[in-house]
Amino acid sequence: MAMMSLLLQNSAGQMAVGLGEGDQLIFDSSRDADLVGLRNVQAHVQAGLDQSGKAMSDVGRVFVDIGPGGLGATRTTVAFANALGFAASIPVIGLHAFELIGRHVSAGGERPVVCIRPAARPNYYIGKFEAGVLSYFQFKDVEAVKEFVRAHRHIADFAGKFAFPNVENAPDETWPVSQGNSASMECFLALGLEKYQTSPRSTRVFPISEDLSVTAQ
Amino acid sequence: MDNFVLGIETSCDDTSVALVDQNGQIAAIETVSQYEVHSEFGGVYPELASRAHLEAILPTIETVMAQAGAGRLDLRAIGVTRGPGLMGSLLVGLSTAQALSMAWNLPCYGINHLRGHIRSVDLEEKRLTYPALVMLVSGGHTLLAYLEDQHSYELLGTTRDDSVGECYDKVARTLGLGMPGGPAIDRMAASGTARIKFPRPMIHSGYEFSFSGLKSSVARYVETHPEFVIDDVAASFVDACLDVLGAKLRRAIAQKGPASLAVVGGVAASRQLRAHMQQISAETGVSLCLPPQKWATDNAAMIALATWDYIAQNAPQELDPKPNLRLFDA
Ligand SMILES: [Zn+2]
Repeated sequence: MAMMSLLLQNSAGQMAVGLGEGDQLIFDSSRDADLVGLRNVQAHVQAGLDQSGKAMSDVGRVFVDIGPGGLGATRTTVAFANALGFAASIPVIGLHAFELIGRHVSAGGERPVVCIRPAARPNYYIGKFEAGVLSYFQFKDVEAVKEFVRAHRHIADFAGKFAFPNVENAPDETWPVSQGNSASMECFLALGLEKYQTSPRSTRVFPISEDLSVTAQ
Repeated sequence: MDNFVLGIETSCDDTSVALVDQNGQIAAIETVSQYEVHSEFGGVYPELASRAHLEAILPTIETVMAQAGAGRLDLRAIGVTRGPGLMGSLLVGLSTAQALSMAWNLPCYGINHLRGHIRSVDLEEKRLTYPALVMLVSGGHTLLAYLEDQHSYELLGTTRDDSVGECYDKVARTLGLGMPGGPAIDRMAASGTARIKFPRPMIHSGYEFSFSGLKSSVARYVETHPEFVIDDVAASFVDACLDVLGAKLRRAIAQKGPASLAVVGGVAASRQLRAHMQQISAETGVSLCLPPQKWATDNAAMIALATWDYIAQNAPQELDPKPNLRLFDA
């Protein structure tokens, strides 16, 4: 039997759990109406195991979205992933949310994808996914992000979640909109399997978090 | 075999894990304090708290299991605080417990943190005799509960605003005594005279508490009396607090006729409070339990001991976080 992977995505604030068997996706909780909106990881995972006729002991590795994004939500699934890695002695691989959504929106195309998600106000995470990799990633204030968006609005697609109030010199028709804020589970599994081949095996990962000193002033 | 409950407590700013047997004996406990993390912000900063929990929780679990030489087969169940507490902090403990319970195929109970505090009286040795009155006074909580037996909790009253501990901390700040406020106030009060008449909020009725008026009246006094003597202000403030707590306790003793009385929570470390309680016990003939101070603050051993009650009662395994859970909620 091909190795089973557990997939945990939560940084966009909408929990989604998947199960992969080899490179085949066999469960996707975002397609289960009973699970959509439910924030209890165990409920998602248990439903996945039950519906696919599997047990937790069949899971051989965990892929978890480590953000950036909603910190509380990301920590919930990362805590679950780490504890599972510890208790079952299986590897945990952290996936950068901007690699996930960048890959999802680019769909293998040539056009770069600018990824943006809000951090503590007035700051944003900003990244650029191109040629299959995340080539740029920063934590910036709103003005710097607007500059970046202006410079890329005709040459890139956009992903993530952003809305800038009082945008000047940017009429609505030219200001970009996000093409998506979460990756499909198929995309998630494919990226996870690539990382699994290339990244060091660890049983513990941590969320990408902003510099909290900025928000604590 | 399966002699222990693995208790996990992450409701506020301490990451605590313990292995406790059915009789309250503690095989191992480890508590990682975030005091350093938060001291520069002058309070608990929720984002930092949940991040620190995430970093500390698995190493703490590993340490405790190793200290006790325990493995999965030594566990009967997992018990994890599900409220009250900070949402982000609760979620780290709950998610961790859920994964352990699934991987190890163990039942997992979401525990009411307040019931943990009350059960802390019986850690290491059975101290409480029923029916009992338990007063919980700490930075996070102020409540008076009546327990007909080990499993029936009746909330008599709680605070409408600040907890006693918060009030101590804020008065300490007003007096320039720094943090943590409780011990500093206690020290000053010991050498002062209670000659200032601060208000005793809600002293004459019921079991509810209110401390914010007392806190403001201390601040007002200090503002309008630049020549104030710190020791005397501290002593007068402590006197007002103890008068209120004592009046409610005496009322409850008269109405409920308990066999024993216990005081738990961080404020129970106060020498003045302990002396006051001893006096009430002597007057009324109700025996007094003052559990060791190390179990008075948030810890996982009390959560683990409370878990045994949930197991005994075959309670539902509720693992959703409840930041505002009350004593009488399961
Ligand atoms: Zn507490």
